Amino acid sequence: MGLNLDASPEELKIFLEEAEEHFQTLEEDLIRLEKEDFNEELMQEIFRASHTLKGSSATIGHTRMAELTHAMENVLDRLRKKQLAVSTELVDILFECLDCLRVLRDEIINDDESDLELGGILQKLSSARDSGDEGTGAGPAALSSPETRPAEKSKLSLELNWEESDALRHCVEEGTHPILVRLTFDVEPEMAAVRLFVTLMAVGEIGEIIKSDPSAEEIENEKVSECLTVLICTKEDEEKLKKLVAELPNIARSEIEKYVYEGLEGQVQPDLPEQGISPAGGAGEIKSEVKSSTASNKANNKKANRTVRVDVDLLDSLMNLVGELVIDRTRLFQILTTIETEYEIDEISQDLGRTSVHIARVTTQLQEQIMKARMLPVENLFNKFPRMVRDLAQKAGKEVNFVMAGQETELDRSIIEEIGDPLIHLLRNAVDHGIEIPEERSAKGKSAEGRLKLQAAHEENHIIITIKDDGRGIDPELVRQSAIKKGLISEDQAKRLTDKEAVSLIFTSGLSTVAKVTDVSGRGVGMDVVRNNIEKINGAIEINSVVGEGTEFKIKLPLTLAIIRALLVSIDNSVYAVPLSTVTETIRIQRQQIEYVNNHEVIVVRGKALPLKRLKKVFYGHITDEDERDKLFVVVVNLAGQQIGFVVDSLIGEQEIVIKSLGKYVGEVQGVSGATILGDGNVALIVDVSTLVKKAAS
Amino acid sequence: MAKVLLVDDAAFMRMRCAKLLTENGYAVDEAENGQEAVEKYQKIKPDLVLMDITMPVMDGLTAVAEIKKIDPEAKIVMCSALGQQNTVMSAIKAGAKDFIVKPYQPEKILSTIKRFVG
Repeated sequence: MGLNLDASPEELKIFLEEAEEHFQTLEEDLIRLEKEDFNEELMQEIFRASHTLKGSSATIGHTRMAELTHAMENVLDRLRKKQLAVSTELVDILFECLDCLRVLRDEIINDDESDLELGGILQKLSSARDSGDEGTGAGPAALSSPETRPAEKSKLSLELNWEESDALRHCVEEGTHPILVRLTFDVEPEMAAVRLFVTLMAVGEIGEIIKSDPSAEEIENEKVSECLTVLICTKEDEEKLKKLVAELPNIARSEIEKYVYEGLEGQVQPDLPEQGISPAGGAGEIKSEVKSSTASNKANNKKANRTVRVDVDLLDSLMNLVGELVIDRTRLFQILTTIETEYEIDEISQDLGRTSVHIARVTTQLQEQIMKARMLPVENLFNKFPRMVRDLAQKAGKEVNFVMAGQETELDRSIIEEIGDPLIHLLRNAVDHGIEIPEERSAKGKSAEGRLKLQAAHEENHIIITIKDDGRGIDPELVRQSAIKKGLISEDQAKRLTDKEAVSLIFTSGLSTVAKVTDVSGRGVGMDVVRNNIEKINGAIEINSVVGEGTEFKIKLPLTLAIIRALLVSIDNSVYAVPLSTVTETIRIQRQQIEYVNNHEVIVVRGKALPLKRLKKVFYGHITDEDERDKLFVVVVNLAGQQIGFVVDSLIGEQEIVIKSLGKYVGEVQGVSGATILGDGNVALIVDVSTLVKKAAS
Repeated sequence: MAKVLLVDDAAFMRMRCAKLLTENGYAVDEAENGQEAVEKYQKIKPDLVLMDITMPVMDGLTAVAEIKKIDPEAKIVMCSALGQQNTVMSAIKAGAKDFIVKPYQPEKILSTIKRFVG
């Protein structure tokens, strides 16, 4: 069912953007509120966010959101005035509100009412609001209850005391005449007391008020009444007053008559309003100046938003097209080289050269700009984490000081989408298993509050996200034992692993279940899934852990998914591309340097054995040593702490390549993650480093 | 053409109001908080100010007092939400001429403005 909101799509867009901002403010501030207890400025900010949401949602006609924010505001108002104390329960309730608000916001996005029940949360809010009272329950009026109370009927007469009679007499002597005005209001004007007050002020502008019922003072003290009776002395006539009153809002009925007072008997009642006297100041204000009323949208245009919304699909297809251009750019240069070497350099080839350079430059810029258009700050993703960490820590009975840095770092939106789950997983692990309970920490001489830091940073052509805790760390010995028990590695292998390699075993599938059941390492819940997700987007994850001091995960991500830098290598005259993000170094070797350990080929690099994988074998099946050249190259790749060397025939160079999928016809091919088109129009296969490394490890 | 200064920290509210007012022949200027409103008031001398109450930097109540100091004749209409009765009352006492309660009804805004500036 649609919501039937009263707002145009543009208005809704702004509303949603602002709402999101306010949600963020609330989320961040509520966490701070819990930590900092009372902070005037913070309190005001929270109040404002909820208040603005209330106003805006009521305006677009989202009643449920308005109702909830109103109830929230009632509680926040009392908090603000220190009539309520900040407590964990209260913050919990407010967080629940925030969750509800998000659901309600989604209703707008989906234009469909959700089945969210507000009864429970409204009840919680109202009991929270009243909890500060000792039984008086005098909270601010609820939205539904009108601010008016049944008023006693007042007579169309006013009893004057001597002071008032005196004032009246004085005014009459001045040449004004007394008029009695009685105004009856609409049944339920909004803010009845203020409405009364404003009306009284407006009437007062054309003369001097001798007395009113209720009096200004009474109205200020929120005495409300359906009727307002005013005795006013004015130089204006009744007609003028009638006109004035007719313009006032919320007036249902007005009675205006000359005031006759016994005490004034004998006094001359001015029969007619005196002519020639300029109207009193008040009347002048009411009189309107006639001004031209040509509509001008100038102010509006100035404020017009300078952004447009673009479908993500459009960005994807733009990226694809640019990818084609990047291929053609490389191609163009190769054609140019051919022309220059095979034919004489003449004007035409020079012209072609200049044009190629220009096209190359434009293509590069275009590529950068489109990549930028697809970038989002990781903030959008990070922002939901403080709340999550707080909830997790509370559930686990731990104290966690969660710090974030580098939220402004930008990443391709498709990468942000992919990286969310792995990050949640790592943060959850850090709180659940990494950081110890306060007592345990204190016993170890650490601060009771654990530290957890999430940081994003730009590093060359990559984004590095680190998650660091100061918890118990991962014991490599326990991981070794667990891996042996599970049959993942032999005891002999385990001994040879460095501590870092051992810890990295938690990324191996099969270990995770063991770790989970026995809680050996305290981590490892689905770490292989985390690793797979990251490697799927050409990223890499690394772990550093010190027992007793904490664990650090480092995730290296490419800036974009569609175009990567790759190392081109040649195997049997075919070109293959190895994503550069995985390559640590390249080494030139002689075939004789290859040694064997347990029937596995290795090579000793700086005193350490590096397992080798001959790509020729991977792609061409069985080969003998005779098929290999004497001089070979090794491309050393590193994934999640595991290093292996790919043996290739020769190195070609670094190049930007556009990733193309192999398509449905070919399907999945072992060891190949995709293909790319090279400058000369040939196709190069992209080596699936992650699968090959995993295969080598098992 | 009558000039109206719209003061609200919510861009959404400003956009909505500005649209309504320009469509009805008013020249609209906007300010996003009380401070900005005071500055703009001095610069453009609007015929009427529509003033939100809860705003960052400087709230509506303070802004009314400040504007009244500059121009005692200033016509200010408070825009308030339910539950802000006391603040509105204070604003009226400080010199605001009237008030409108959110959610705004277009006719109400227009009739109120019309009453003060025609």
